[in-house]
Amino acid sequence: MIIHLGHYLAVSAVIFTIGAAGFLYRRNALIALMSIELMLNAVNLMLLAANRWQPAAPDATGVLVAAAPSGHVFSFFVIAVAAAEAAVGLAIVLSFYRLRKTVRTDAADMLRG
Amino acid sequence: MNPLSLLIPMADEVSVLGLKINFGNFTHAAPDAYSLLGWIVWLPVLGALFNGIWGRKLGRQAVYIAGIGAVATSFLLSCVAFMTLLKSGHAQPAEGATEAAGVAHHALTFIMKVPSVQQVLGGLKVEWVPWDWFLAPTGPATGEMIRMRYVVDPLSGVMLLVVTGVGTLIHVYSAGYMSHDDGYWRFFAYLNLFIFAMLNLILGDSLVLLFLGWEGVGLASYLLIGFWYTDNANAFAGRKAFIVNRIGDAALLMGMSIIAWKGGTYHFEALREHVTNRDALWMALSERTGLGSFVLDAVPLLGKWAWLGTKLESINPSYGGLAALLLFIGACGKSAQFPLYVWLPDAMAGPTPVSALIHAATMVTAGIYLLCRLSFFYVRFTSVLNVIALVGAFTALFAATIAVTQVELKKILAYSTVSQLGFMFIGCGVGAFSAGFFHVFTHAFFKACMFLGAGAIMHACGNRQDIRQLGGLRKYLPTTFLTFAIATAAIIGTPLTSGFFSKDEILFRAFAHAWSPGFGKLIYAMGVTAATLTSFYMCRLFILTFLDGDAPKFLAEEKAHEEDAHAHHGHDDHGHGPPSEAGLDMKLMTTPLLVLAALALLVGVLGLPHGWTHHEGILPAFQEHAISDSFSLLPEARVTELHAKENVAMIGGIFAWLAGMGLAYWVYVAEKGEPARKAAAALPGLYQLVVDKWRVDELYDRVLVRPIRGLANVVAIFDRFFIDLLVNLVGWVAMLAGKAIRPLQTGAVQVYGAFIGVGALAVFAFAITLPAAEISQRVEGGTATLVAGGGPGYVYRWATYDPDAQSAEDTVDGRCPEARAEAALNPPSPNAAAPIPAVPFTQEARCQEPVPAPRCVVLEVRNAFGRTARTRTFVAPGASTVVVPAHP
Repeated sequence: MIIHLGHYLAVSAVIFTIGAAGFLYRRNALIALMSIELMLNAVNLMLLAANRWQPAAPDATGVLVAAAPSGHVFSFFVIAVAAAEAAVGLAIVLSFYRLRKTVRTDAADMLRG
Repeated sequence: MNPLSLLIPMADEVSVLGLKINFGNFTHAAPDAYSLLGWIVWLPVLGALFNGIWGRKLGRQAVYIAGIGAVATSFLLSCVAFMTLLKSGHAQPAEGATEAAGVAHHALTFIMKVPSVQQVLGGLKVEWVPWDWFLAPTGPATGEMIRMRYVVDPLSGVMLLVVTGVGTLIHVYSAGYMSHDDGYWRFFAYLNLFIFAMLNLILGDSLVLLFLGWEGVGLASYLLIGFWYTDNANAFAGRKAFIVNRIGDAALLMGMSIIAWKGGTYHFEALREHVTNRDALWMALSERTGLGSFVLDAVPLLGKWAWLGTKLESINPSYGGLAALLLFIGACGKSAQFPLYVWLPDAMAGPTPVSALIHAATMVTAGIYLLCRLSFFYVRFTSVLNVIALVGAFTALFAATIAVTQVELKKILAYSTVSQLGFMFIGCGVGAFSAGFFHVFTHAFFKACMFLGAGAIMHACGNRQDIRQLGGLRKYLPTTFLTFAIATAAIIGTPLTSGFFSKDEILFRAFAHAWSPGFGKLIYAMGVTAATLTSFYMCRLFILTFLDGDAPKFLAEEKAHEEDAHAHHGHDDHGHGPPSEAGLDMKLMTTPLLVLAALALLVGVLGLPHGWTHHEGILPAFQEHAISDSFSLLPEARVTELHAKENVAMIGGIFAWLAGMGLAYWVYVAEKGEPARKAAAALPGLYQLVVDKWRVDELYDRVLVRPIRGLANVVAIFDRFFIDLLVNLVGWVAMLAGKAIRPLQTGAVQVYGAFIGVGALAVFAFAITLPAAEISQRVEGGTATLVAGGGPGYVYRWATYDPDAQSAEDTVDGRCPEARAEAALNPPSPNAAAPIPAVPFTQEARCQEPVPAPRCVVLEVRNAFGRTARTRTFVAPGASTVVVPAHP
């Protein structure tokens, strides 16, 4: 069978869901960070897929040209942001570890009402 | 050349820092714009605010300057206003101005040295109208705009001078009296507030403004009586004054409302027109109220008391009479007549300047002022006037009897005030309103002088008031002695003092009663008895305080104490050393005394009796048109006949003076008080009753105060268990809600993350789903109204053709002009995704033209996220709605 855009989107959705579930359910902060990375990767996948299946359109002179690689470019941005965010997130986890001597997220309840 | 014109510019208006002050030219005053009156009234308020807010920080000098300065400036401006009043007015010279007016005119010209007056004294007034206050109702559907309008006419002009003049003197006195008190700044603030309220009362042109001032002086009185509030007795006295006043105020409000309801107006001038012209509103006021008729049903049940029922039923006052009576009850409250006098003796708990200003010269005279203001009204209701005269005479007598047995200086003066107020009410009650007012005028001076003198005595003698402990003060306080002697002479009616003329005029008018000679003689007899008692107890006071012995008795006691025990220090509230008039504070206190005593002696010339000069007195003539008099309603011959009795009536006054003085001399000087002691011993029960002020306070306590306290306790239970329950309920609800919501705040980040996810999903759901597009239709007559179903953030667009139609034939032509125009402009093309033309973006679309054939209407709904849904419906004549499902 021919792989359509839909397949890619389905995979992306599944990976995103796994990442989301991991973030919400896992108690280990490091695993939560990994889940975030997973979500971001799923989004990247979808961006690239959408860009791959974007139809060619006639430009000003009437010649059919491929669509602009906006998906790829956006994907770069997402990767860069993900990297920065991973760095900052790990720094936070480190400080938190120094404070509470654990990386369990349910130890972060100092703001409990 | 008028020397005063050098001081005051001849221009009408002066601009000071952008504020315009209208002084009025000396030849005329712009009638509506005499803003000087505004300054007169509002300067004391500024003084009060200044002293109240910054007084404590700024120190004594600043407070004295601000307080005294405000009132003194008001006084000076009042003099200017009064002189402008003399010179100007809008009335034409009255026809046949009486000779009396001519004499008065000449007298005034002589005294004031102002250039000759053009107009004569009728209808004088100057006024100031700054702003509209509020619309007061005069009936279910009518109202009258009450403006802040101050009017100076002969009645209010004289009162204005009295209030500001005596007020200034008392402010100066207070600077001395309060020299050792820490709350001086509050005192001056309250005094200025009082002056402001009193000025509103006097100068207001309507009952509403008068009531404003009425309440204001009641408030100031409360604040000042309870000035030393840390002592509970003083606070209770202030509270008592306010509450008893309030009872009068309730009656005043009722009377005011009746006048407004039936008479159609609150304003004095308008009311006067109605009364004088005897027009329809006067007729409304003269209607009988049928007040007693409700007793009719109860008569059969009364059995042997049926005669009382029929008697009550026949009481049928007119509305005007009822209003007059109610206003009089209000005046009783303010002017301390029986039975609402009980607050005045207790009010002596306040500082002495307060007693002098408020409870002698100004506030208590507000009741008589009200009666004089409405004299044109009262002269029509002789039965009410009879009631007034009787109450006044009874009070005069009653209070005089109590004063005979009292031993405290200020209490005696307080009862004396109540008694003299009774005299003033007698004057009003027999129709001689100007005589009553003249007594107000003279009484202000001599009573204030006596109160201030009492204050000086107390200040010098270490707050001692008991006259049994004083005596021989003539050597120690000479100025006080002299002024007090003059004032006493005035009050007991020594011939040629002011008090003599004013009291004599009242007694004469009672004797020569205009409509009821027998009743008049009764009032006269009561008045003469009261005057005799007045003479007796005032001489008693004077003798025991100033003349008895050579030194105050407390000095001898103090010496004895000192000799007994050297180490024993005196009580701290008594002064040390003999009393004297040395020191600045005593100087500040004795100077006003001199001014007031001089006035008490001299102002009698303004009211010389008719029998002596064959003219009316200067002051009554001046006030001829402002204050009505029952004599003016009688024929000339009768008036002459009545005037002939004047000298006979004077005998009573002179007898009272001599008898009282003689008796006091005999009892206290010749017999050294023995007869008094013997009388007290012989009739101990009666004596005790009189000393206890006839136990009226105790009666009130039993009959009124205790039941009301009981009721208050019952109501308090309701308050505690119901109202408080409701309030606490609100608190509990808040707490429970908090308890319920608090578990959401777990502090766990992932839980928060989950909430973020759920919330985001909800928003996205809104972005994904299509809006609900429904049309409902209403057909009325030839008009079909289409209403789209609403939703959050929906935007509607209507079109009369369907752009998704596959061919042009499917397009239904709209008959509405806009749609046809649109169709002409943008013809529908079957293939192009033509945009729907912009027919109104409203939730309702309406087509005015009759619909002969079914027509299609398309609705496109767009939600906030740009999701659109479309639906179609047919509009048919009289057809029900056909909804075509939304086209995806």
